[in-house]
Amino acid sequence: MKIKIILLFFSHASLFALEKTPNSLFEKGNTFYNKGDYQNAIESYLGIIENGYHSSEVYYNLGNANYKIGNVAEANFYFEKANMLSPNDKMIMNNLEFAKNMTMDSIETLPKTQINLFFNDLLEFMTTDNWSILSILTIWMGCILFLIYSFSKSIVIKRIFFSSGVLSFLIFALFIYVTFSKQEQENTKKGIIFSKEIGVWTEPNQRTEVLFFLHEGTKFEIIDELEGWSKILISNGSEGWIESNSIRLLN
Amino acid sequence: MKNLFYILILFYTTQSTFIFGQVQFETELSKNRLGLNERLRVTFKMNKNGDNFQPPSFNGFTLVGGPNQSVSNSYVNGVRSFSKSYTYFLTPNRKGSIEIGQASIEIDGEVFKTSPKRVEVTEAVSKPNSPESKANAIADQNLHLVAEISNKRPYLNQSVNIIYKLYFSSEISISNVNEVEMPKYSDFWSTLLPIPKLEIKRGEYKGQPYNYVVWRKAVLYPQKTGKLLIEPLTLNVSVDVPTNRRDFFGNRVYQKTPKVVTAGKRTLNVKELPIDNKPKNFSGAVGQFDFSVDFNKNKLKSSESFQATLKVSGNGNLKLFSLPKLTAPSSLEIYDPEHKENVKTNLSGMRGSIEDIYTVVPQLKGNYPVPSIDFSFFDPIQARYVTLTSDETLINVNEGPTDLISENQTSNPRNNILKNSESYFNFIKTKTDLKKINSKLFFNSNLYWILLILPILIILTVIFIKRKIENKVINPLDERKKKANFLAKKYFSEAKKLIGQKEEFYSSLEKALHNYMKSKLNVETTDLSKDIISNLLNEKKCEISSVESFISMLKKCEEARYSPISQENMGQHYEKAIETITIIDKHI
Repeated sequence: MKIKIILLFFSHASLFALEKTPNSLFEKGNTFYNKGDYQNAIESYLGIIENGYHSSEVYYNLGNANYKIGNVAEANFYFEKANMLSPNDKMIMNNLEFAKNMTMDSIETLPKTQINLFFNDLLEFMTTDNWSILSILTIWMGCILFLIYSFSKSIVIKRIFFSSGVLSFLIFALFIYVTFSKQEQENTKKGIIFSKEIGVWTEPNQRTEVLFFLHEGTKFEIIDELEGWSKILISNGSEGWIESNSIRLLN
Repeated sequence: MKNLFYILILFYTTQSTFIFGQVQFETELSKNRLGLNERLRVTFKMNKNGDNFQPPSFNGFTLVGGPNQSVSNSYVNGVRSFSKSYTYFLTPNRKGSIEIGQASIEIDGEVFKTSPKRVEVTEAVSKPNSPESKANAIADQNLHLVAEISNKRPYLNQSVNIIYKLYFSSEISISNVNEVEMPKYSDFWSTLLPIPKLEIKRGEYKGQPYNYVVWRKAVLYPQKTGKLLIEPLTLNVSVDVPTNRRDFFGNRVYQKTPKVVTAGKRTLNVKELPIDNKPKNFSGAVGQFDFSVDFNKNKLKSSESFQATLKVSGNGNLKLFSLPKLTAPSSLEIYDPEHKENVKTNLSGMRGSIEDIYTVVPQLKGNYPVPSIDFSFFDPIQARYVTLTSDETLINVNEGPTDLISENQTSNPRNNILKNSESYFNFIKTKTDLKKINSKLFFNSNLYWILLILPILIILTVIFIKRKIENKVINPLDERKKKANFLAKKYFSEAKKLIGQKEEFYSSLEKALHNYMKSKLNVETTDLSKDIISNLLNEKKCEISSVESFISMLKKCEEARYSPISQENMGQHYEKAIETITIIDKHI
């Protein structure tokens, strides 16, 4: 009898443990999603995050589920998060575009120069960590090339290794610059508007006039903060103050 | 005959005295201001007899009495005064300033006219000055016009109805009712309800049985707060009043008398809508309503259209507020709505529905939530605000472009990515690699900096160590070589200077050659014999001829010290020594 109870307890406990592991939660969420039970799928995915784990896929799936039930702000929020964790992922970028189409605001982005676009694409290519790993790899390569250069006797070999060593140091310099720029870009606070409609004011109080209105799901950068108000910049270059309690920060 | 002539003369003279006196012909009014239900007496007075009296047309008045003619002739102290007057009794038909026009008369072939006069007609007064006849008094007691107001303290925009009832007792009968003054309801939105047929009903007035006729029904929506005045309704009624006389058959003789009745002024105290809990989107709707938002389809292709109908139905000021606006994601194009009203007005107010029909055309493919719409109204019965919220609807556009820009222009490379292959909403990802949130960035970590700086350090140390090792191993040998080289150069230059001085020249040339060999072959001066030199040179695979010439040079140097040699020879020897050295230099 006792053994049975213990067995029962154990089996139950193990079942419980299985349910709670983040990976099983992910699979559970996927099953719910495929059945069309988006609300439960969202809860499962959020469970993973509550457990202290995340990945771009979790955010991507959360974005999908929220998109399906028409949560504009949440869908945009999670797709942006997924995009931050794994930039340049086509699936994420595609669905993010769908989510952006869902927002009330249609904001035209400011035109950029070709160089800016190229540099932006470079930044979007990888995360900061990947860029830092890449820059470390190049500097190690440069170091090895230099050592071969300095120990070799033949003039031809020396020339080849010297020039390739210098080249790899130049590439390293570019990569380290990109790494720092990417880090700076990731450090600028970004957010998504979560209230249905919100006024953007000229000053961080309600005595002044409303410049324009924004709706849920619109992305912005934070330039300044003061006593529960945030100064935001949206992609068409407009600026203004909004109340911080109606937004959610991406980082 | 003579008498007659005199009389005529007399008549003529008396007449002629009046010709020289002024003719007076004027209008006299009993009052200049009168109420609508009062009477006006107009007298046209002249002081000389005339013919062809023409009264004015009395526009705006009804003639109730007259003309009464009176002539008076009086002699006071031998002076005769004559006056003739025509008197008319009028009742005004409308309010405002009414002109009484010119009357004309012909006196002695000349036409005289009165000057026109203006009369101010105001609203009906409570105690009219009209002469109280007996019939009038009876009519007064038995005829009443009453305005019944459904709600004397309505809210702003709450419907109020007014019913005007004309009560008359069975003693009298009425005929020929017409409206003299109609209230305008200037601070209200008003609708008059048509009364197809006047029906006499039985009712009570102040406890007495009366007959009554509903003369007028109006529905009002107050548009202002505070005390609002409702102007009185005034009716002109012909009343048949029984008299005491009886006719031949014993029936009562009825006397017809015109009677003006008025409902009197009424005031409404219109209450402001409460400010507490007033919803933000409140647009002035007061009543009891239902609100619905309908879409005729929610699955379609882009560039097809669908219709969204916002409908408010119920009972209240339906025509007096605007419907909430439809909002949708920016990629759904919304056209201006078509407004439809289906409202009927009855005593309890407007009833029916109003709707705004929007035509919406989706531009892009995707799922679009049309957000819920709030509609707020004030319920005057429960005296509170009610907010109805429609459901959020998901519009599924399953075919079409995902991005307008990529359709139109292909300059932006980022949009191309989407356009090319994946123009559908992607399914979720099924595999993942979970990481701890807040796992520290590799960038800026200690390991990162170590890995970054380590190769630089390695390079630096390698360079440094290489230097050190080379210095230690090569130095002793190298220094001797350098010293010998230096000495060789020194002795050569000395020898060049000393050409002509035989002994010094050859000794320094010899020293130079020796030192050159030392630096080249790494040998000490002590064991530097000619054999060793030739052996070492042969080992280094020098040409035999050059070795021989070198040895011969050394020999010559030795010999020359002890034999006479000309100055020219010295020059030749010096040049030859340098030649030999350059040849050897090439080989070693």
